Amino acid sequence: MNVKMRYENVYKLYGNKRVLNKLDLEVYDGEFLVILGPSGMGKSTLLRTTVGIEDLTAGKIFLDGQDISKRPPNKRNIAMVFQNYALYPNMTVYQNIQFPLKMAKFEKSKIKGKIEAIAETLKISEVLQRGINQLSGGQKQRVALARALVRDPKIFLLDEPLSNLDARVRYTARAELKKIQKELGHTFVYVTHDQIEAATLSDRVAVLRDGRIEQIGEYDQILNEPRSKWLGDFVGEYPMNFIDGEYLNLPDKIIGFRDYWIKEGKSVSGRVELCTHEEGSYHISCFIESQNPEQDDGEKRVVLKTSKPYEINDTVGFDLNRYNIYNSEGVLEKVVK
Amino acid sequence: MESSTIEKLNNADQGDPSSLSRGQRFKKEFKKDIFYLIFAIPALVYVIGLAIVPAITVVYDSFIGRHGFTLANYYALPSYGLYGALINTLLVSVGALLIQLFIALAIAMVLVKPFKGKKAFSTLVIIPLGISTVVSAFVFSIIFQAVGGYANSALVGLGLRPIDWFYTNSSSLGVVMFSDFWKNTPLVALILYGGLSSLPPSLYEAASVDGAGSFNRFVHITLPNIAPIMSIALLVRGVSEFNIFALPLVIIGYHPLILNTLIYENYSSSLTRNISYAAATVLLAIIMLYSIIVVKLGGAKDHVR
Amino acid sequence: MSDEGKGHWSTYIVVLILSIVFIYPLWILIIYVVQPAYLTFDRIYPAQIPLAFTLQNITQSFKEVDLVGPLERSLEVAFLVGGIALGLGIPAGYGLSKLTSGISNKLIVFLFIINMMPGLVIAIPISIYFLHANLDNTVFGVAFAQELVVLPLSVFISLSGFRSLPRDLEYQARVDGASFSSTFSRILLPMMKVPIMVAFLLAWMTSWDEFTYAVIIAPIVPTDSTFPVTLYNYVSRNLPLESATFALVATIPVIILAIILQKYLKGSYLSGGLVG
Ligand SMILES: Nc1ncnc2c1ncn2[C@@H]1O[C@H](COP(=O)(O)OP(=O)(O)O)[C@@H](O)[C@H]1O
Ligand SMILES: [Mg+2]
Repeated sequence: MNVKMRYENVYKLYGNKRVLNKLDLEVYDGEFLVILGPSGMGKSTLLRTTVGIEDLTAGKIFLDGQDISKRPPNKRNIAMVFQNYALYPNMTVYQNIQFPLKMAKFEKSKIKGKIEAIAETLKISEVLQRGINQLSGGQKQRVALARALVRDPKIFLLDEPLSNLDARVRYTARAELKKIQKELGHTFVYVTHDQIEAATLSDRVAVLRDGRIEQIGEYDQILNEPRSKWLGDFVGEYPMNFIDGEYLNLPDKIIGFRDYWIKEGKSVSGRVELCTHEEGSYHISCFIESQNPEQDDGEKRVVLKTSKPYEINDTVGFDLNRYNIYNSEGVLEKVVK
Repeated sequence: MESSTIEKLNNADQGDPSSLSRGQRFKKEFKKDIFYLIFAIPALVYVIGLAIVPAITVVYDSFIGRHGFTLANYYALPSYGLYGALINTLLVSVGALLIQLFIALAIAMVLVKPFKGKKAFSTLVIIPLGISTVVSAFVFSIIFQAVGGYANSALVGLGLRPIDWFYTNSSSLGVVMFSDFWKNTPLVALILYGGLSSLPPSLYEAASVDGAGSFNRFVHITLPNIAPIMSIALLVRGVSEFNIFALPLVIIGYHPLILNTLIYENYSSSLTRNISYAAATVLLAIIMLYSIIVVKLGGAKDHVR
Repeated sequence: MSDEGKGHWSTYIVVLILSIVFIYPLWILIIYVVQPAYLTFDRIYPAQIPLAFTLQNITQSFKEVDLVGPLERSLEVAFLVGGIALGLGIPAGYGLSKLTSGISNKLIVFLFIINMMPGLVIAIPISIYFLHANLDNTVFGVAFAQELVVLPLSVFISLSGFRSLPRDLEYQARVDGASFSSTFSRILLPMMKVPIMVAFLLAWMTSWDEFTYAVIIAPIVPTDSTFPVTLYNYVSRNLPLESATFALVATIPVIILAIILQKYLKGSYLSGGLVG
C-alpha cells in the first residue's frame, strides 16, 4: 500500500485544550478511510487543519511525501465537503461547480464538458441552472460533492456529509458515495460519528479519542478485537459486555464479549430485566451474579442475543464460545476464539 | 491545575507544543490576529488622527493663556454663561428625548399591528429622515415666528390668542425641543419598531389567553421585552441630543445659549477662542463620562451582532 | 372582540394626528415657495392652504443667489464621504469580525466612544490642521471631517454584515483554490451587497445633512460651502424666499430617495448595528 498522506506528531491546542494530541496517522492511496469518533472529539478539527483553514500548533502533515502543513489552503490541492455543504448562495449550481475550475485557471474550452460530465455522474444535470435555495437536501449534498470532485485534487475530505439528510436519502447517498469513490479511485477521508456509515463505507476505520487515533483497521477487526474497553464500549450496535475475569478463573483480568458471541448454556447465569424482539432474534438485558460483590454492587448488567424470548425475572444461562481478555487497565491482552 | 501543567512540561514528547517557549506560542496564536488587525488599522488610524488627537489639542489649549499654563479660561466660563448653557442643554436633551421616546413607542406599536393605510403611514414617518436639520430648523422658524407665522395663524384661526414663541427662554427651548422631536422621532421609531417586530407573536397570544388586557400586556410584556432596545435608543440619541447645534443656532441663535452655541459663539472671535476651548473641554468631559458609564453598564460590545 | 375594535379606533386617531404632524412642515415649505410673497412672508397671519400659485420665487431665487454650486458641492462631499466610508469601513468590519473577541470588543468600544465625541469640539482643531494642509474650504476637507461621523457606523454595519455570513463559505472558497483576495472579492463582497448599500446610503444621507463640521471647515462663504451651511447663510442674511426655494429644491430629491430606499432604513442599521 502506498501512503498518500501522513500525519506526524500532530498537535492542535485551543488555549490549553488539546484537541489533537500527538496524533499519528497514515492514509493509503485509493482507500476509503473513515475517521470515527463521538462528537466533540476533534474530527472536524483534524480535517480543518489538514486542509489548512486552521493552523496546526505543532507537527507535520505530508501529502505525496511533501510537507504541506505550512501551505495556505489554496496551495494544498485538497478538496473538502463541509458538513453544511457551504454552497455559494449567490451562484447557481453550475457556477458553484465551476468555481474551483476557474480558480485553478482550468482551460476554458473544457470547463463546460467537465461540469456536465460530473453532473451526469451525480445525477444533477437537471438542476445545473438552479439557484442554491431551490435544491433539496440530497441535491445540495450532490452539488457539494460535484464541486469537490470536479477538479481532481490529490485527496478528498468529507465532514459528516450525510448527517443533514433524512434517513431514506441517506441510505441511497451512502451507496452511491462508495460506488463513486471506487469507480474514480480517489482517496477519501470521511469523518462521521455514525457506526453504520463507518461499517458500510470504509475500507479502514480510524477511531479518534482524546486527540489521538485509538485504533485503526478494518471495521470488523475493531468491532471484534477492540484494543481497549473504551473502544469496545463505543464501537458496535450494542456495547461490548465486560465481566470480571473470575467467571472464567482469570483473576485480575476482564472478560469482554459481544452479545452474539454466546450460546445458551450453564456456565454463567443471570436474571432477565428486559427482552426485545428484533427480526428473528431477541436481545435480552440481564443482571448476572457478581463474583466480586464489593466492586460491582453485587450485580452486573450484560446484553445477550438469544434465539428464544424470555420473560422478565426468568433465569438465563449461557456459555462463552468466544471472548477477549483485557488487563486491569482495560487494554486488550488476548483474543480467545 | 498548575502541577499538571508542569508535569506535562517535564514529560513533554519531542515536538509537544508545551515545550515551545511562551513567546513562540504567543507568536503562533496572535499571528492571525495581527493579520486581521491590518484590515482595521486604516479606519483606526483615521479616527485616532482626526478625533483623538484633535480632542487632546482642545483640552491642552484650554489650559493655555497668554503666559502659558492657566485655569483662567475655566474661571471665566461662568461669566460667558456656562451654567445657563449647561442647564438649557440638559433641559432640551432630556425633554426632547422623553417626547421622542414616547411618540416613537406609539408609532412603533401602531406599526406592528395591521391596519388600512399602514404602508402610507410608514412612508410618511420616513419623511423627516430625508429633510436635513438646517431645512427643518428653517421651516420651524417660519412656523414659529415671534409675531404672526403659521403656528400663530392656526391659533388665531381657532379663536385663541397668538403667542410670542421667543419671549421667554422656556418657550424658545420648547420650540427647539419640538423641532428636534419632529426631526429625530422617526429614527427612534424605526429602532423601536425593529425591536417590537422581532418579538414573537406567541408572547402576546399567551398573555391574551391568560386574560391580560391591552394595558397589562403593554406593561408586563411589551415594555420589559423592548427595554434593552429602548436603552440603546436612549443612549444613541442621548449623546446626539447633548451635541445639538444646527437646530438651536438657526431657530434661536444665541438666546438662550446652549453648550454648543456657547462654544461656537466664542470660537468665532479670536479674542475668546480659549474660552471656547474650555467650554468644549467641559462638553467633552460630560460626554466622555456619560459614554464610559454607558459602556461600563454593559452597553455597546454585546449588542453589535 | 371589543378590544380589537377599540384598538382600531384609537390606532386611526394616533395615525391621523401623527401624519398631520409629520407632513405639516413639508406642506408649509411647499406652500411658502409656490405662493407670492404677499400671501406668505408679508402677511402676519398667513393661510394654511395655498390661495395663489406662482413659480416666480423659484425662478427669481435661481437668478439672485447661487443655489446650484452648493448643491453640487454637497453632492461631491456626500459621494466622497460614502466612498471613504466603504473603503475604510468594509475592510475594518471584516478585520473585526475575524479578530479574537477580546481584541475586537475593545476596538468596538473604542469606535463607539469615537462616535459619541462632540463634533464641534473635534471640528475646531481639525480646521486648524486643514488650514495648514490647504484643505480648508475644500470639498475634500469637509468630506474628511464629516467622515468621522459616519465611519464608526459603517464599521459596525459592515461588522454585523460579515458576522452574519456563514463562516464556512470563506473557508470553502480557500479550499476550492481561491486566493485570499479572490475569496474576498468573489465570495464575500457579493454577499455583502445589502450592508454595503446601507452603509453607503447612511453615509450619504448623513453627509447631506451634516452642518457642524461643514460650518467650521468651510465657513460661511457661499461659494465654498455645502448646502446646509449655505442655507444657514441665506437664512441669517434674512432671505426667506430664496432660503425656502433652496430648502425645497435640496429636499425633494432626498425625500424621494429615502422613500424608494426605505426598506434599507431599518432600525438595526440606524442605531449603528447596535441592535441585533
Ligand atoms: N475555534 C475553536 N476555539 C476553541 N475551541 C474549539 C474551536 N473549534 C473547536 N473547538 C473545540 O474542539 C473540540 C473538537 O471540536 P470538533 O473538531 O468540531 O469536534 P467534532 O467534529 O469531532 O465534533 C470541541 O470540544 C470544540 O469545543
Ligand atoms: Mg464536527
